[in-house]
Amino acid sequence: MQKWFGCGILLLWLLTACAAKPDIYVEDAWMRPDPMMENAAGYMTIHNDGNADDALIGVQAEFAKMASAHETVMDDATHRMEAVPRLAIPAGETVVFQPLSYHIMLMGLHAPLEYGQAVNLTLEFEKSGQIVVASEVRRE
Amino acid sequence: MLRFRPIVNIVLVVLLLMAVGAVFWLRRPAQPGYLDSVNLTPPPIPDDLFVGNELMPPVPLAEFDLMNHTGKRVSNTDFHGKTTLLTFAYTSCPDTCPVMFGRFLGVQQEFGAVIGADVELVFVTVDPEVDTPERLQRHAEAMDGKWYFLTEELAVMQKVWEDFRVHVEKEGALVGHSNVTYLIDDLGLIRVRYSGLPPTSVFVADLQKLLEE
Repeated sequence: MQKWFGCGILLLWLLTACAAKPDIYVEDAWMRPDPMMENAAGYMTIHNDGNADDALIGVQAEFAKMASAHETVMDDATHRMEAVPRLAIPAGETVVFQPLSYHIMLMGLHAPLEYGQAVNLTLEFEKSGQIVVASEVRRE
Repeated sequence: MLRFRPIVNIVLVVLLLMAVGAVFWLRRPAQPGYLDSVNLTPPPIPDDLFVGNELMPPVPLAEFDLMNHTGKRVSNTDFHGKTTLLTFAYTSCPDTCPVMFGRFLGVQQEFGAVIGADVELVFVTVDPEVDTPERLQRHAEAMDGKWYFLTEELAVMQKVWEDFRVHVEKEGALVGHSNVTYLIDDLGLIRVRYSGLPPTSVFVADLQKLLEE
């Protein structure tokens, strides 16, 4: 009986270890504030090297009143920005945040940012939880 | 058996000929496929053409009377005798307009002292409720932009956007708008139209071409 119990535990442990899970990592994080230092747009590359899908479901930034993921979409020759409350980061894929595409919209900076400094953005993922990313403030 | 021999010989000769033919056919020089016949590299742009979309015939610049970021009245006739690059943007735009400000700064860097003399750079706001002349002034100073940034009351601006075929949609603090830029010659004729955010090099090339005319 004890032997079977031991086997069961081992099997459970193996199943847990092998369970599908996402593996999120973020690189090349930077942001560009507008020249009057009121708002900023954050850019980065998000990789999911795991074997399960994940999704970006929120962003927090202490230095801005509001932070959220947006996408610039071209619609009938008009560029407009749309909020993206949930952005899928599928297993094994990379999602790039760049100008004229996905970006983190940071509205209402509490204080002017300094070029060259790094500020923290907290990204919230559906499965991976919160990931803090240092983002460099750049002019271009 | 002997009766069939000539037929067998003929069959053998035919087979031999077919084999030789097959060898030659297989070793023939490669024929160009469909994709090989399509030239995938764009042809070089002849020197006498603009990179942007040239208007044929050129269209006279629509009349306008707006307020500059320094508080001065500025009308379309103020740009006669100059070569002008005119586009639309707003100061609190976080993603697309900074790209355009960067492109115009690049043009400013390229042409140096000619900016403000023979060449003028003009931004027209798509967010007049926020973009007051004082705010546009602060923006130009922060960017070190040697350009005009024009604004007016909403009703006046709506007419300007319509004249320049610019679609504007305000959604809270953000403004969706067409990214359109015009290159205007010294006679006040719109010569080239750009859609989207072309690189600085495109504006520089076309400005140079127009200045050499």
